[in-house]
Amino acid sequence: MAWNWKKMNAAKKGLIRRGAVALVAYEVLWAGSFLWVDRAKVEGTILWVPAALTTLPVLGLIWIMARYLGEEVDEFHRLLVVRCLLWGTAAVMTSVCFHGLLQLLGWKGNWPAAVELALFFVAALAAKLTYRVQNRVPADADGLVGREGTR
Amino acid sequence: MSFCGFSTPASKRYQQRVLVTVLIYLVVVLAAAWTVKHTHVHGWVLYAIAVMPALPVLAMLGVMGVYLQEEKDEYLRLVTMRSLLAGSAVLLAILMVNDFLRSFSGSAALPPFTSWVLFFVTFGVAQAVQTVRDRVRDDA
Repeated sequence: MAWNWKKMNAAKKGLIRRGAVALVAYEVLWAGSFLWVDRAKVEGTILWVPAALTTLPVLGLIWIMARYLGEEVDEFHRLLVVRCLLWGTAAVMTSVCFHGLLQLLGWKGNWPAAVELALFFVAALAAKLTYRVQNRVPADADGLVGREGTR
Repeated sequence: MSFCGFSTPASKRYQQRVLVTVLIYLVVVLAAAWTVKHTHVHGWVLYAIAVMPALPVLAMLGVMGVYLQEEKDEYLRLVTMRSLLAGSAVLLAILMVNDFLRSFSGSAALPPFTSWVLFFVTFGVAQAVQTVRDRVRDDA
């Protein structure tokens, strides 16, 4: 099924609109925080302020998802979103668990920053695409149902 | 009455499966630690051993996915979804703040398993809070 804005229900449109706003806010806040820390040479506890600021849009995204789950009337779509969320969380947890064990077992290194966040979104997106392909309905499915119905 | 007051067949199966995966996790972690301590492995074998305990963690989330599919009670499904969202929000927030501080101040990474524990604690707390909040009196 092609991506069609007109055929989308209000809940999904809201999710996409709010999600886009959150992503833009994240980019703006990240760039702003980066510039602020770089130019003003922020140190110590004040560093927590830009760190918390860049976290707000990510929390916003989770809130947007929660709101979508509350608004979505199609149970199948709700289940798909929760499954994608589970895959994202699973990817983060696997990375965290693997990293933690390596450290416990004597490894001295560290994951690069933002690896987990990237993993979350990549896994969630990959799950979404996989489910879309897996549950694809043939273009002529409506016609088949119609023919069988009249039989 | 079972854990958190949920006693549907799906939640019972969920609790049994979680218990099994937790036991497997404990066995695998102890076996991995024992192997590394006594055989002094390094290189790719160390990486392979570190992957092993992550598998039951993945299975635990898989069990949650199966539960969400099997559970017929929409309210219980909603409680689990909300708890999952709360756990994910805390997990991502902690990781984001830590990543930012690591990037700009060179502060140390979180101790091993902090985020993992935080996720499950938040999940449990969110579930308990919702259960208490939505409790119906006996005479209602």
